[in-house]
Amino acid sequence: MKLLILILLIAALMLESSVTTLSLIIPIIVVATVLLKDSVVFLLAFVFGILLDILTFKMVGLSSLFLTFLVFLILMYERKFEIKTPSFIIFSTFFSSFIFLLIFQRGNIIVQSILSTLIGFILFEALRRVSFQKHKDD
Amino acid sequence: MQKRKNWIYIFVFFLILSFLIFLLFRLSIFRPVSSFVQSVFSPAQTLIYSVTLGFGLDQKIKDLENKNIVLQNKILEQEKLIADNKALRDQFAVSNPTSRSLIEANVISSPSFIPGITVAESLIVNKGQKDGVNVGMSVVYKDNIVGVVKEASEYTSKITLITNSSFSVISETFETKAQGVIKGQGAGEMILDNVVLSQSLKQGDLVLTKGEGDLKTLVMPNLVIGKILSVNKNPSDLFQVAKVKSLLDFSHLSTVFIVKGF
Repeated sequence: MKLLILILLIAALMLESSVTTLSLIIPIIVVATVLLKDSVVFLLAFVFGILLDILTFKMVGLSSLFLTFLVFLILMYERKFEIKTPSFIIFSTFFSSFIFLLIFQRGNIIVQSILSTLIGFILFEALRRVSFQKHKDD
Repeated sequence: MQKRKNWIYIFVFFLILSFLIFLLFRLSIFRPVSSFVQSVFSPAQTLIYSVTLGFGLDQKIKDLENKNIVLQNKILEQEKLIADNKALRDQFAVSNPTSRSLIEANVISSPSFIPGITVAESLIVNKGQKDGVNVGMSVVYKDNIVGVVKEASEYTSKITLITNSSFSVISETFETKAQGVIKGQGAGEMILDNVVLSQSLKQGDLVLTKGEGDLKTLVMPNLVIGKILSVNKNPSDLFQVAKVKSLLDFSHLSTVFIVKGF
């Protein structure tokens, strides 16, 4: 699962830095945090935030600050509520994408946030099934 | 509870690290790190960008658009020659053609909302300070202005397109010689603003750069900015405004030229 998430993050980084302004890394980080609940997600958020900033000529460190904070918020939220649900993925991906785009971009923020949410939801359902299948096989 | 405490420590660790990196990257000693990362990823970015270029636009349309740009420039050149000839006959004077030194650069990234359909606000090219690129240099393609260099690292540079909402340049219309300021509006649009009512604006007239140079930008004169689509002239307003469209399709540019000097 961790390897799959790493591959998805690399693909998202390449796409986000060359062809699209859609936030692709955010839904993957959100889904990874919810499914893995592991400290490795902090490292992924930090590294991919730095790489994204360098490749898109943003102020280096800002994206990693944002992503690290996002991972922490989700993990804090987990103490009180159930986060492994589609509704939480939709809620968290939409608001995190919206705030991220509000900081770094200008146009089509809402539409882009909705698309990121959709990506997050599809990814969550797909990875949850993969994880479920793996447990079943084991 | 233990797990939560661990997360707080990890979070604080990465938060401090991110903040440190944020501060340290402001210093020029960390520039090689950025340059190294950019040089490592740029071949893959170029590949992805060139693959996406193939989608969304038929080759035939691309060829026609290129031909259209060439023809527009030829008309412009011909009209300039006629005007020059007339001036020569009248004044027996010859104007020196401007010399240009261009740096060819490949577009490695042009992030837009929907790749190939919506227009990007900026481009990233594979030439940087090592190739002589500096912030403020103008970027052209077939005598058309593309934008200006906003940031330059060692191996790559970021170009702000003329349609970017932060872009503005002094300009002049080709036929009517009306002067104004071209302002990018974002989403591939721009306007010719600050044109006094006494001057004439004509639909279909070409808008050229007037040429400006200061410490921050260096835009050479007589570059084609675009064509006037519509004019909004209201007698009660102080200025008239025209909608201008570039002859270039920025979402399908693969090569641009950076003007080193003129």
